[in-house]
Amino acid sequence: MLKLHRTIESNSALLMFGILIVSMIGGFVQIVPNLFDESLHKGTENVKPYTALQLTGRDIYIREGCVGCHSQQIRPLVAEVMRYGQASVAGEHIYDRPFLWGSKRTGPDLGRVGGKYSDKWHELHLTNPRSVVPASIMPAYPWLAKNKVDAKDITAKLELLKWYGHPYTDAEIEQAEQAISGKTELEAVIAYLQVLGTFR
Amino acid sequence: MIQKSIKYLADSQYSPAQLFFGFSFWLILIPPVSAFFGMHYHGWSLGIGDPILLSLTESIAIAIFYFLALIAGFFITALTIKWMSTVYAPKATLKDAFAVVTVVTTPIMLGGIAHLYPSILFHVIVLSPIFALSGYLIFASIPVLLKTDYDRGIFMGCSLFGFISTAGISLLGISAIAWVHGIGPNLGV
Amino acid sequence: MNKDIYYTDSATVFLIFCTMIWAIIGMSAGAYLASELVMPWLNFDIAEITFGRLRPFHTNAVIFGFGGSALIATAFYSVQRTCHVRLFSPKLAWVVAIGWQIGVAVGVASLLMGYTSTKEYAEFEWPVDVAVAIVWVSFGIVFFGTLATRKIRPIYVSNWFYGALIIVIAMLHIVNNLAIPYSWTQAYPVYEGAQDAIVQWWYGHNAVGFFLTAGFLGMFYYTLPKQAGRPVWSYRLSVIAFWAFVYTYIWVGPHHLHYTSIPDWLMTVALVMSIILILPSWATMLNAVMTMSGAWDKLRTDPGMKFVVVSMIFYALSTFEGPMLAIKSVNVISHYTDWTVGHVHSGALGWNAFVTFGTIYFLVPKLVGATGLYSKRLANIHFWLALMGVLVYIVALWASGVAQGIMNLAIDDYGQLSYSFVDIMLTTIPYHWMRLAGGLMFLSGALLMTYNLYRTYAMSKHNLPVLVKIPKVHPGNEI
Repeated sequence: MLKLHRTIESNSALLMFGILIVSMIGGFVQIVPNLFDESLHKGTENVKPYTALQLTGRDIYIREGCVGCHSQQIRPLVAEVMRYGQASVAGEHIYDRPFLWGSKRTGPDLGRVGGKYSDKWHELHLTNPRSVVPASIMPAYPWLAKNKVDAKDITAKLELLKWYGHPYTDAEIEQAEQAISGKTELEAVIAYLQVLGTFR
Repeated sequence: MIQKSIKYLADSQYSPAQLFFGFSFWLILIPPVSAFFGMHYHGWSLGIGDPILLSLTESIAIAIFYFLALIAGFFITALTIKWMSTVYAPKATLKDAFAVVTVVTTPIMLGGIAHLYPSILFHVIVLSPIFALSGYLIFASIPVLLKTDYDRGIFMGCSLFGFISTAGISLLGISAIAWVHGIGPNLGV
Repeated sequence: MNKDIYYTDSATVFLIFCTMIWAIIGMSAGAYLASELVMPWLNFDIAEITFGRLRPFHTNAVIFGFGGSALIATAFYSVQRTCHVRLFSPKLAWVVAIGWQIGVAVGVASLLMGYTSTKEYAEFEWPVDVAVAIVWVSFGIVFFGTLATRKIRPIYVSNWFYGALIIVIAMLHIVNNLAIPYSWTQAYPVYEGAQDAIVQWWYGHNAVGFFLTAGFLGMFYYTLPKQAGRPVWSYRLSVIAFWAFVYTYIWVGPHHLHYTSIPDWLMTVALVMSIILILPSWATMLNAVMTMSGAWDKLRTDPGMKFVVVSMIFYALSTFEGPMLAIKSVNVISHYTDWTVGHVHSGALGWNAFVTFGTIYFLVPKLVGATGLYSKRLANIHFWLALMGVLVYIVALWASGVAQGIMNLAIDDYGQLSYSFVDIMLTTIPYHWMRLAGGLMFLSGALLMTYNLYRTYAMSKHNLPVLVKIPKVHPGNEI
């Protein structure tokens, strides 16, 4: 064995290929079979692709880095289901590009926040969180109410997603720009938050 | 004063058994006993909100397990020191290794009184300086008690510090596993 | 003058300068984030500095700015010394050095502007990803080119680790960032939902494994024997540990996804592999400890050595804590809490930053042609500030994380949740103050170090770069 290694370590090309091959095995086994695993890629009964407004809201959610403090993944633990709602399943996330499961809960999980609060509550909360939750440490997002959404990319976004296999109709894509133009970013984010967790 | 006590211990003729039963054993009783009273009568305050009270049987069981873990930790640490000394302090005997553990653990065991008021924040505030003192004692006691030179002693101190912190973390991990399996606080898992 | 008889170190000097700048920028951002958690008004309603945008700025600035610059600098330095040859294409080395700075600077600035792919530690958007990939491949060309033109037959162990860093990170970066652009700045990934999560954490954990561990082990395997003036203790152990490390690490990513909507077998495999990973990690640690043994006086005489020794303690600690947190029963408590954040920092500060500081303290006097550091005393103060800082930091987040984890799951006698989310959040506040204090200590240490290094440079009477002649290869080891 040690002799073999003497050969590898006196030949830089062998060393390179050795590292590449040894390090590929784990990733290959973990990623490739899952590409064909039905249970990961088949939608739940109620899952729908995001509407133009929800998708725009989702991209604003991404832009502001909400995922840094809010997870969207409820684990199948008794207390967690009591706190946040039914446990998450893979099928309700099939239209999530990128996924937004998060890794830290500085704020609460938002996996099933849709419908929990009124639009008005979200409006107040996003503009100044401390107006509805006095102890909150969340930043305020007053600019969301002032900014109109950027509608120019929405057609390209939907066309790309359609190409990926999200079932948008041609009519939806055609009307997308019109559907969101004039809306504020706040409206878009709220539309996204209100649909979270309703796909199960 | 600390230097003097260490020197006194180094010159003394106590056997490991004398050291253990005459001194450390009684000190090791402090944390579990305090923990029992704290857990059962006050309950663990995690932070905001009501403390988590534990039942009598559970408190006794945890206290006993805690005591056994401390005893095991004491002996394992002593044996580890003896093992490490093959590199760092060839002249040290098992008796010397026991002396080092005795010195280093004394403040921690005394600090176990803090368990009478089981609040996480209180523990962090009270135990942090105590652990710092024990950390200092590792480095102060090794060269004297293990009869090695200062520089080598520092190296050994680092190794021992790494060992003890790892042991501390695994205690935290074992506790977490116990909690999740229904010992201690009532968790909905 | 025949340049080929000298090493070329100018790119290294530049990169070490950048390393310190990134340390200050990245750690300041971290301290500011810690302050925002306890004083939310510090967000000032300015989009660019809100927590959500500043956090990826912090992580990318410290990992790729600070860590990346340090890794490339030390790789360039050590690969020449261990191959007894000049860098392959010093010009390309400069392109790498400057390209990396521009790539990371544009990347982190764009994160503040809101251009992010949100995938942790891979937040840069596609144009930056492409640029970074090109720079990385050029880094590979310089590095492997130097290896290929070496004058000494065996490839020294530090170079295996740097090699693993370059190859595996290239693979991870490309596979994880596969996406199709919908505009000149942004893209949607080719993976969706659970698949995206699996790929991301395969990347995410191995960014830790190969960027923050393999790379820094390369730095460590070069610096430590040099500082201690002793050869690596066991060659055989380093061979076994290396291959075991490269093979095993890749498997453990899904332990970041315990109890989420991914297949169970993935979690189980990741858990088993995580535990096995203790072996190569601790074998490396043992090798290091034994290599140091014998260089007893170095701790007193060499300020850099202290950092390297302590970095080993934290390496041992983190590589033990990591597998422990990968156990499902522990992960139930620790996941989504500050415990994870504390664990990451015990590795990133205690291991990566410490070994980097130790190496830079060792290299800079040589690189600028000074007889020693400007002030050993300042370096000692830095050491204690950094050590206290990281200890305060991780103790605070252990306490906070355990409290969060239990309170999240605690149920009262009536079967109701014992604590509201606001209770959990308020509980963490005192610990967050503590972690801020720890972070500030660490940052002030880095500032002291920068000053110390600047004075060391100012003290030197040499023109940079200092020319070092390439020594003759021992006859038995010629290629």
